Amino acid sequence: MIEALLIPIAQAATGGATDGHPPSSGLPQFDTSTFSSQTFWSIVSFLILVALLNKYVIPAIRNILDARSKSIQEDINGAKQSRVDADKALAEYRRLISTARESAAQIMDETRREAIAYRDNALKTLEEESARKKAVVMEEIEQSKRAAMQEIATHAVEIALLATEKLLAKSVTAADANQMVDEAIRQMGQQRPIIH
Amino acid sequence: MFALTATAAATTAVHAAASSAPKMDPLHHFQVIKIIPISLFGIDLSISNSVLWMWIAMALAFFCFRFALRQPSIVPGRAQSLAEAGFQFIDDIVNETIGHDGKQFFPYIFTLFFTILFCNLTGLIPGSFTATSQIIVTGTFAMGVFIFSTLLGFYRHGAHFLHFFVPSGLPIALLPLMVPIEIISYLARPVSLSVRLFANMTAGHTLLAVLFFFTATLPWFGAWLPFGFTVIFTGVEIFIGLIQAYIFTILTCVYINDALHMH
Repeated sequence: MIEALLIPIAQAATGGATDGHPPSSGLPQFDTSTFSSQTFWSIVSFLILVALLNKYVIPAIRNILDARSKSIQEDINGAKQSRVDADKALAEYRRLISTARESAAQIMDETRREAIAYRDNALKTLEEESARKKAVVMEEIEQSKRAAMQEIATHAVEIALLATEKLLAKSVTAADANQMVDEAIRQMGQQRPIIH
Repeated sequence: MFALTATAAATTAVHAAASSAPKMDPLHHFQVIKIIPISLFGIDLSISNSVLWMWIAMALAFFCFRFALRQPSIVPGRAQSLAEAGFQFIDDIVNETIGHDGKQFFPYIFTLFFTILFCNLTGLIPGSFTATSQIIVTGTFAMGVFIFSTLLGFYRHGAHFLHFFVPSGLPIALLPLMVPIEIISYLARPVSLSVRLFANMTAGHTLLAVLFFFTATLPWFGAWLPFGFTVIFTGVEIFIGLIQAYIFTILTCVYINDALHMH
């Protein structure tokens, strides 16, 4: 099967079939009778192909490559611009955030200071108020104490006088009376701290 | 004269004896056959199978590019990417080898590369003809490059271009030795350029033909081996076709660069 397929191919390749061409002694390429036509047509065909490619192929590819490099360049420029913009935006946001942070810290500081001041103020007022009230109360106490002392002294003298009068009914000399008064007064003086 | 006749007679005899069995002629497919005979002023300008397949290769190259560029867009499709890659490939070679003033030669180098490449590749189609396996075709291109770069050198530098053959910083005593060597190596350029391509193509196709012959004539249990080799070797030939087109192109650029910058 394979042989049947390959024999014609091999014959085409090797010239197995007879075709009327006598085998030459050397390479057929050195047959000078074919040189003039092959030289002529090689030159002519080559020049025609140069002209055709130069007109229809090379400029087309060159245009496409130029257009592509141009568009890539534009893309790169655009990307660079975008990057610059993004960097700018980022810097702006960073600036905003730091400003916000600063102002927040400032507000907190101020608030804290204000709160402390308010508390201090309130404490001071309270202390002053209580001191003032205490002073008033002390004054009142002092006054009432003094009044009480006065009253007691008055009453003591009266009692002493009365007692003296009763005693005088029995024989009391003036000296005894004075002594008794003094005694009474002294006794009152000793009792004074007990009132407090 | 006698010897020639004897050889011919012997060949004919061998030929007649072997005509019953398949004969191996791996060089047969390099035979240039006239298709349309044309003769102008006594010069043979016939259209042969070689010319025809060169035209097919060139047309294929042109229409492949036109197809790839049928709707050129900024975002390329597959075909357009390939065409651009080919363009960029040659552009890079020209820029790196010649430099900025190589731009004016770009269309020629571009065409040269794709002509050789498509000739090499279409030659691998069974039954086709490889124009680049003809020494006269590769020789024409190589001589074209050689004459062009030499004229370019003289056009750019005038008689100063002859200093190209005098290596700088060499003792005077060595000059009588070095100058002829430089001139010979310069003159050898078109020869090596053309023979390299022609020999690569010829060798590869000859080997393929031999392998095909064995595939066709061996019994089935032996045929698979040369057949497998033809499959592998066709892949190798595609690679060789690319490499040879590349070498031809880059050497062309090197020669043009030498003519322009003289180093």
